[in-house]
Amino acid sequence: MNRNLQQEELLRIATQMNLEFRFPAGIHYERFFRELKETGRIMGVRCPECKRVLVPPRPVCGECFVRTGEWVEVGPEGTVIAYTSIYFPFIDGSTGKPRSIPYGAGLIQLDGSFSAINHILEEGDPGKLHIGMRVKAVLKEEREGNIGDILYFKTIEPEE
Amino acid sequence: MNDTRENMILPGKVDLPFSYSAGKTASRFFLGLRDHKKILGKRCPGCQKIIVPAQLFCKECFVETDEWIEVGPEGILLTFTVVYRAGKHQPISTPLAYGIIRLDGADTSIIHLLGETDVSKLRAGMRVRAVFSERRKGHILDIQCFRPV
Amino acid sequence: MGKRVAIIGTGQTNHCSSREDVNEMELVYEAASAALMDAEMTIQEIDAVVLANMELFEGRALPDMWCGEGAGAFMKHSFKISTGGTSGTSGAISGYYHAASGLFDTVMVVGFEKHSDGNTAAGMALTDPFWDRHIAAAAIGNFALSVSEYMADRGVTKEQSAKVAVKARRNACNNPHAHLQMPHLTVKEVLESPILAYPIHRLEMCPQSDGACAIIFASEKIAQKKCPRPAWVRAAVTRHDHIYLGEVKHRLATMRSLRAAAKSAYGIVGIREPIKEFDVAEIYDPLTYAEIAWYEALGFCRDGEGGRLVDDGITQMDGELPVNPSGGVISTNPVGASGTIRVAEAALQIHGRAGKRQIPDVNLALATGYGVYCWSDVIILSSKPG
Repeated sequence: MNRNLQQEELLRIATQMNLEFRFPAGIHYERFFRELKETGRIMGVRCPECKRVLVPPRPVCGECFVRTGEWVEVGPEGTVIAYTSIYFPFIDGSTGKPRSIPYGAGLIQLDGSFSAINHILEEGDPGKLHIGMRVKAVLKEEREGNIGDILYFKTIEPEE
Repeated sequence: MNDTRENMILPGKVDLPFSYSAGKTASRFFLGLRDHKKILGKRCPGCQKIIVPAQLFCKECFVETDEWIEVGPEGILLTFTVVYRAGKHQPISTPLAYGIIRLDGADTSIIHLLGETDVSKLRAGMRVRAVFSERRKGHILDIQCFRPV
Repeated sequence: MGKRVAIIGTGQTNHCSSREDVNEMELVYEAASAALMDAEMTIQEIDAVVLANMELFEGRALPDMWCGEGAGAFMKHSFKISTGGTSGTSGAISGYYHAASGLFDTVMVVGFEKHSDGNTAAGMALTDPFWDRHIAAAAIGNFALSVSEYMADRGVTKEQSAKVAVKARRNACNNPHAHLQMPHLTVKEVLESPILAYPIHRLEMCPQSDGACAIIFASEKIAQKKCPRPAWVRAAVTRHDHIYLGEVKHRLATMRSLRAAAKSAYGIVGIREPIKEFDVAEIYDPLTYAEIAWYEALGFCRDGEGGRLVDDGITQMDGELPVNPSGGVISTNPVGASGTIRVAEAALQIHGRAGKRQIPDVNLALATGYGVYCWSDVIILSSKPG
């Protein structure tokens, strides 16, 4: 057989992976999502040992390793403790397409909560974002019972 | 908790492109199918087996294969099955017959589709022959299926 | 403590953005063959194989099964380790445990990744479905959150970050295996490169590479026989923190998992002043700011002084503690192999076989692994068995 390495065509096998999943929320998280969907309230849970309020509402406090107890309403306002603005069109795995860029994202510590949640910020310009700024959750009109029921967090002007 | 309430299920979806490099050896194998309708294996200088599809190295001896050898296009159907119920992601509709084929001249076997026949006529041990697709692109499905001889 | 174990051979592919000429299994075969040649061994002399890969990125289930034969796993005791970014170091640690148990005399570890086959969106698309997927900004987005926090916590400047990128890509020029080799890179160029996720510039971030790296661990008896200067494993520690970013505030500044792993590892070996006692460090730096944060977490300096270490050139090739002579992850990143490469590079330094990137007189080397978002591995290698 003639082996002419320079002219060898190198092939790639292309595939599109299109998969569907279903994730039962479980009794515990379901309470969070139902409350969000039906009343628009954001709930956290308190660890009976360290007394911290956790959002997402973990069924077990990771640091104390005990079951969390009391459900507590948090937010809807909070403080940005970290932020970024995404400029690169990463593919959103659930749609196969990139989001429209740039868009803001941040860690938001909701009032009353110890931990912060990871979510979209309405403000996409990093020049207008800073650590410590106050934001408020903006909810969808028609909610489904998932984290996307919070559309994004919008900047709230400081009160004089 | 209310036991009769419906549980909340979050639907998830992933839709992502992947593109796997075949490597020099597999590329030559696929090009053999595409351009010459030939099925190629390679010999292991250690155990002397003709490995099909062609591989860069013998997995058992852990040495590089050397000589390219044409095999088939006929061979023996070692075993087969017929699938009557397909999953969402399978490329062909049911009933789907496929089997393990030892091509003439090969020491390893390939898994491939069986077609151009009534599935009831399939028998382990029967001779089969590769049917090449009209439109080939350098892919295992350049062999459309194997049919009984 | 387990039995004495040393690294006696390593092998790597030449990492790059896309290897069209091999498939993933053949990539593994290349690294494994190179390591066997380095150690002057045959595959028959290997008792066990550990494979490390982050399969989500390539959309390939069971990479140990489909690619492991490239590492000679056929009819051998073989395991896959998949722990995200730390896969490579976890794999090395697993290889060490196999040998340290006394049950296996020789173990080959191969870390590998073929990024060009897949995309990181795959890995990030499959994060927690309830709390994390909706951002869809890959690892960079979530890292950027931590960076903005870190800059506020420590006052690290953009220029300091860019200097780390310059050091990495210039060091990479001495490493024939490195992916991004940029001999003339400047701070200005780094800061003018496009922003991926604020405030991270493209040139501050690691690339995605196709590559594999193999390491051979051996028991004392075999190491003494086969290797003129074995790299003895003195400590191997791993620690995991929460993964959800909102549950670890001031993540980079506190980097609890790395501090805890380092404390434990240093305690095992008796290290009190890492910057003086280590001769070289290969730390897992996915981006520039992380490297600075790791200096603090590893105790190379006090908190808040990471930037100063950069400005003073302490971690340059001719500095008090050279960090990443190989170019680091910032220059080369086949994720499943990136951690293995840190251990291999640290071992090469002790072996005295690091070529142009060799630091003189290396007796104690540090290697670390990092995984999105809060996992840390610390491995200490020495020219002495201890």
